[in-house]
Amino acid sequence: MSARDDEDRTAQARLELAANGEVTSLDHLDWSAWISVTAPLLGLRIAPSQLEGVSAFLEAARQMAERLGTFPLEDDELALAPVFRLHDPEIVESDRRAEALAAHREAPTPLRIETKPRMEHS
Amino acid sequence: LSDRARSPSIRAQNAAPHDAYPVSSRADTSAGSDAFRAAWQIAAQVRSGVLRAERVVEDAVARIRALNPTLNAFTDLTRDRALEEARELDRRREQGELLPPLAGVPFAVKNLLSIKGLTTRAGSRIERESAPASQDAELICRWTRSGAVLLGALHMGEYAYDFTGENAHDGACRNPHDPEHMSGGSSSGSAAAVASGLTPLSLGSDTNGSIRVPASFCGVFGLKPTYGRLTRHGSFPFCDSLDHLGPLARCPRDLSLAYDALQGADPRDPACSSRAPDPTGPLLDAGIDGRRVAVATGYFGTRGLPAVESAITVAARALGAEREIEVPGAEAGRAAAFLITNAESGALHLSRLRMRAHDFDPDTRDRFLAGALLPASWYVHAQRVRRAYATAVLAIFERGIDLIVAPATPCCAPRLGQRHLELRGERVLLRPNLGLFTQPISCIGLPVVAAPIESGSRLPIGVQLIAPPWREDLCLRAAELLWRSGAARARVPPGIDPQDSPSGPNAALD
Repeated sequence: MSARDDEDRTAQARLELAANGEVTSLDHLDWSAWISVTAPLLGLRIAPSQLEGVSAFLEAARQMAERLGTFPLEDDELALAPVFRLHDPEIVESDRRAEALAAHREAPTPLRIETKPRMEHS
Repeated sequence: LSDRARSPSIRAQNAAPHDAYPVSSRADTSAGSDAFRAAWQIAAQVRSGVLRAERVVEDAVARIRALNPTLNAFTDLTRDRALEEARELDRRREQGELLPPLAGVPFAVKNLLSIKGLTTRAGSRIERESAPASQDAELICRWTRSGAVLLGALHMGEYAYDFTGENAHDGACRNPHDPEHMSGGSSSGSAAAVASGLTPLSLGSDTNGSIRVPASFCGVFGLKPTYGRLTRHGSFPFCDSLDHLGPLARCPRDLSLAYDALQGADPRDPACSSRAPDPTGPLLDAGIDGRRVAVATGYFGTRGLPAVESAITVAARALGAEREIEVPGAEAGRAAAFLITNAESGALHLSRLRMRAHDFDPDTRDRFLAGALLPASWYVHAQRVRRAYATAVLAIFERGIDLIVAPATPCCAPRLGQRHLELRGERVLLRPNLGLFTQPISCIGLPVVAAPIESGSRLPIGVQLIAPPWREDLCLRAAELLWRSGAARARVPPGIDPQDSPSGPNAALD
């Protein structure tokens, strides 16, 4: 059995654990397992020399995904359009996205906005 | 909120409009051009016939040939085209025609913008094999119609996925204030060329901070307009949800003049607003009296970042900012920007990653590969957070704040090759963290001016002046106020003589 076979078996075992809910955090999942499964699906070949870098960036992305969870979202808070537009009060827009955004803007913001006197740090 | 008190610097805005803008005393055609002459001065002198546009171009080309071997800011020089356009402007003026507002002003563009007859590199090796562009990008057309003269294309990080100005294919673009330091990126050449007086105006792109980071490091002014304000037609995409284009200049007056010439709808860019242009020039001298300015804190806090703290203090004093405000959800907003960028750009380059991964810059390749492999739910979650975070931040403006002052970069320009950064006592990776303060703002498309602050640091450092959507005028008016008070300035880099235009060969550009 080759070293690569060993790696694949280990990766598969870890993915099975995750699927069974026995691993709840990707902290315990070697990124090489994820890469070995998803890269072929996309027709990508990740060379051994690229594995460390790709893994590091995937880990960075995972940490960013965790930070998304710090922002409270209701189920009806959606990103409705593939093209992001800021609401422009000077433009009369008849499409439903603008109406949805206007309705959303009237809802109370979930986060308090406070200011305080500025103190210069010494 | 309480009204802010008047600060001494606020009085500066009442000075005569042009007192703070010394016009070159060498206003004759026999003298060489001052390398740091403002764009509005050049235009005024060309329009009045005091200066010939052809002479402006010749001097600029001579400076580029002399300084570019050190700075590596230009990747392509369009000398023949520039001379042809300049001569045509001189001919039109001689025939009594009133010339347009940017007459004879040289400019250059990040090499992700299409230039007719040139290959659009986008900082990559792969795109060099593409056919030359058949037409100019729309923003180049708009500046050209306004009389500006294209000098060439500028260095950038590969496919714009960069904050450093380092590029494995082209070498590093160097900081004019110290060539051993980074220019910042990915609009590296756009900032370095303006800072060194090679051109008074440039165009860059900003997805997560790619105008503001190099503007801060190189000590120039940069405008990232509201998302959708300027058309991106003819620019190589990076992340469609977040891509912006914008100008860089050495003073706010030039930035305003340049920006006003770029505005207008364009149905070829689906994100471009149909909103009518909002000229900022007539408002530039209006100051910000009566406007409420707050300094961003919390996520944007400056403790442990002494150079940043000094810059924020100088800017806050000059603008009379007496309030602090915590931007709600900034960390989540930055995370959303990170994931949206990573996922969209990974998908955009998927075919290249399949076929040509070995031809990428290794520093960008691995990020694109990771982006292609992200779970889709992270991307969808990021888009939802972006929308909700935008609503929360817009509430700040709706509740009475008109302008937010925040750091542009967590440090001055790092040394070339540096891989890590000391950030509030922690050693972190440099590349992902140079956009720490810019990403939460571009994530929701707010207009921002990056202004270089005179706070005593050896190398330049900038701050962000952030306004509500479509209020670029407020950003520019605040920048103008900083400029007039002396708090913000594009310094002349040491070792660059403004009067010197030595000629010399640069085979790489000819």
